Amino acid sequence: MNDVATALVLDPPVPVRRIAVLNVRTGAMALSPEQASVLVSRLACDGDRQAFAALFAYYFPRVKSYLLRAGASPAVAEDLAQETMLRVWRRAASFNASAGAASTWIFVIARNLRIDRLRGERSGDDLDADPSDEPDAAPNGETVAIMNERKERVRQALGALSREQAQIVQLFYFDEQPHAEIARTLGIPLGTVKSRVRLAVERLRAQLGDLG
Amino acid sequence: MTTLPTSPDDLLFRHAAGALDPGFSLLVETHLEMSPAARDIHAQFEALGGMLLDELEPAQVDPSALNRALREIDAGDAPRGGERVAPSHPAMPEGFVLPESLARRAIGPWRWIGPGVRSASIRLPPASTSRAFLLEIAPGVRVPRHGHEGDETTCVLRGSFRDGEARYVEGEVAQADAGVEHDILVDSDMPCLCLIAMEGRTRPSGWFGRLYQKFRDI
Repeated sequence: MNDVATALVLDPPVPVRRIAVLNVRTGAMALSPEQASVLVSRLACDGDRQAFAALFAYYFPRVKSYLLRAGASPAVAEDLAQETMLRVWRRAASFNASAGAASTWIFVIARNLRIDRLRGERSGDDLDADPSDEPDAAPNGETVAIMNERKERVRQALGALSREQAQIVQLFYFDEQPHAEIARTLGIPLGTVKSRVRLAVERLRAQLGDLG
Repeated sequence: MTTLPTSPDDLLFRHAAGALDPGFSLLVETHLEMSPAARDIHAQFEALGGMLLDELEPAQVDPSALNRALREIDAGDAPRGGERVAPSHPAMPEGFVLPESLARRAIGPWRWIGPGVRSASIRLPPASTSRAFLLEIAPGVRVPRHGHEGDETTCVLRGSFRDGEARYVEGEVAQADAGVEHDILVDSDMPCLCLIAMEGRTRPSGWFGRLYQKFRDI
């Protein structure tokens, strides 16, 4: 039925276990949102290299994967993933665990770098803190438990999309294509892309709405 | 045809995904500064991005990558680059402070493009396929019908305007698709200052459309 969304988001969560550090080839390792938050906080407080290594092992291959999907060559994806992780180190103090998950914060850093470098659109002042790297603050202080619930809801919301809608969502997040390009890729008119996006977004919003 | 519903959820979504080009990104960033509700929705879409990142199949990586990163960290974090020069802006209306996202951009001089209407273009990266500009319209001025070749989105920075039945106030976003013909009437006591992002070129279906052409290539 819904195999795009299924393949994309409905894999059962990997059981959380002790973090293996200092080995980026440990592909199967898992990192819970709580662990990720704690690790980023440890970078900020103590400059903890073990914490950095654990974050690196988990996120570096995923960020590289994201950049490859966006059309970067393997070498460029490796470089930009490296730069993403260095920004994680340098900007750890700006991470606010009560405002969002570490994965969201890292996604935003990688997304901004992707826009910077792959499209050459943003100004290139690498080391200045980029305010848009900070996740938007939630209206009230949120606990990690609520964030986990939020994450679960996001997962469910994606699962509730039709195959076509899930495909569109994926194209927007990963495939670095403007509307017109997506229309060509899918062989449908531009207006259909726009209305499909609107429907997908409405559906997501309906699912996410009572998260507040 | 009428103007689309006011909720810019699809723009928030596309911004969070990193799929908007610079003119529209700037508009969304300005809107986010002005609207807590939009920030909350946008945060959910960014969380979706974080979750999708978690779910991605990890790529094959160079095993020495971590050591290279650690060496770079050890080499020190001295910031490079000199001081940033503050971008230039034309004089803003008395009592109005540019939102931070706009203040970071260079903005060209005000140009009068019609009675009671002036605009200032905003500098975007060269790769941009969209344009962004400030538009200030005096109270009571009606901007006649004009059409678009592409999407046009407006964020009200100050004052308010009516577009048919809809009324837009500070912080709100009005979206118009290609082909939409609309009238704008400023109904606030003060001039209405807007940020506009636009793809394509405005079709000259009225004097305003023709005037738009004056600065379309700036």
